[in-house]
Amino acid sequence: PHRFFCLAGTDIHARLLFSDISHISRYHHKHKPIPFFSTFSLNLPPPKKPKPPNTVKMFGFGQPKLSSEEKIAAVENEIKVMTEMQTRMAKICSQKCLDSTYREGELSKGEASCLDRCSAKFFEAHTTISEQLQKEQAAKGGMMGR
Amino acid sequence: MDQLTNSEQQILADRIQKRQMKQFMGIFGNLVDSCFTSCVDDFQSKALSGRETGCLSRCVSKWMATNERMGERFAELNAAEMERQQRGGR
Repeated sequence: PHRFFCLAGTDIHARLLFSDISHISRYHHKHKPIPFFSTFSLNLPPPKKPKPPNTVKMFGFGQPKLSSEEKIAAVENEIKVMTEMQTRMAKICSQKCLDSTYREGELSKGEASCLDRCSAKFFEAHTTISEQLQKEQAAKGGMMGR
Repeated sequence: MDQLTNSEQQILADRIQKRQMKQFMGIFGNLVDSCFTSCVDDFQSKALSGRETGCLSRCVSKWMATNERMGERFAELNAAEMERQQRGGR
């Protein structure tokens, strides 16, 4: 069954999202500052020469295991999807909530609450639409026969 | 669910970093487009006025604050959603 946000490595993904934010400033000092992606900054030392990945596939004898490469690709893909969604959400909620004349450089309280509510609604809309779409596709698939 | 080993995590981290650097230019472009559209309307002169410069500067500050906030909300909402799914069992 299609699991909405979950691909292989979901636990890892959740961990990435909640990586300790207090490490962001350390991360940024060592690397180019990319504040937009602070959610995904990782609590890791600067990249060293990577060890060669284990790409042994283990098929047969019951459950096929994903190779190392596939696992990494799955997590990376999920992160890509998440990032895109976050970008879209930020753009749309900015258009809906922010004063477009930019009289102030800081978020007012009203704007901040609006953004919070907008993101919650956006998420819920995403979920609702996804479920609805699946229902319709399943119904269509049933009617047309597979 | 399989966990990634340390070396796999390192590889992932490298890829994410590369991806972020690539995406940065795109994001920067969107920011310029968006702030320019909102702030600059008067083409009597070819230099940005003080008002327009101030507006651009405030636009950038606001954008950064918004993204930070959106990032936090997104993380919370995503976690709640995943928890809901695990409990509800899809």
